[in-house]
Amino acid sequence: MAHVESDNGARGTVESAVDASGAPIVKISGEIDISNAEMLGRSLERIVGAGGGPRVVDLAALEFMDSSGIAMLLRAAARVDSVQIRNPSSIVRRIIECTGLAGVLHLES
Amino acid sequence: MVGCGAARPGTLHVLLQSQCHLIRNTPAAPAVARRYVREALAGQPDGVVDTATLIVSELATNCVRHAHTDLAVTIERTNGQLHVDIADAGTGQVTPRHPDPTEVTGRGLRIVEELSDAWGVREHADGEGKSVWFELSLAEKRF
Repeated sequence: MAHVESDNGARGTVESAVDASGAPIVKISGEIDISNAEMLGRSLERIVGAGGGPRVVDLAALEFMDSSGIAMLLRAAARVDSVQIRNPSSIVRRIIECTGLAGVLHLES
Repeated sequence: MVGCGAARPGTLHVLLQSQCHLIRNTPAAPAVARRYVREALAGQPDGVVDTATLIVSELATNCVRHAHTDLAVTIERTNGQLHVDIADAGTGQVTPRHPDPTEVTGRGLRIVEELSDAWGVREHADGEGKSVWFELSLAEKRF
């Protein structure tokens, strides 16, 4: 688990986990912005790896994300076949939809 | 220099709240700006607070990334509306981009454009720097 805390900056974590059905997922929690997106992104890319089937990213514990977080997710998504976004907040859902990215960052219904 | 100075000209509504916060240009500036906005807007509808917080984070990020100067966040609230101004001493162009889904960056101002009720850029009268401002209705349910 990567825990990144900059001086008064955003506090966020990326960790691998399994969901209730036993399937592997990536959980992102806390906040993502310009102060920690690069470091968290390196952890995310390490966890999702490259190629293979779809990856599920669970945002249930994500408190805040701006376009720095979107860029981080897009970099990870470019390395694998597809990324499913689970439990986005309404504002994260709105960001993904209004920037035309729902075809890349698939929102689970 | 960026400061908490002159009021905007032409404000006709009664101000219920007007406050300004100076923030140093560090990578933590967006997080500091978000905390300030959340505290200043305590008690306002969640959708408004979340939207204002996101937009301020995007604009503070642009200051860190492009303007390389300190910033001043001014919040003005009238009966039905929120007006937020983010001032910096930089001179760069402020133009939203519409990147292709394969591009990873360039979406900050697009988010500002989509989520605000109005937004714009104001060159400072003293010729030093600019403000990017946005407005949100306090009445509207945002999600």
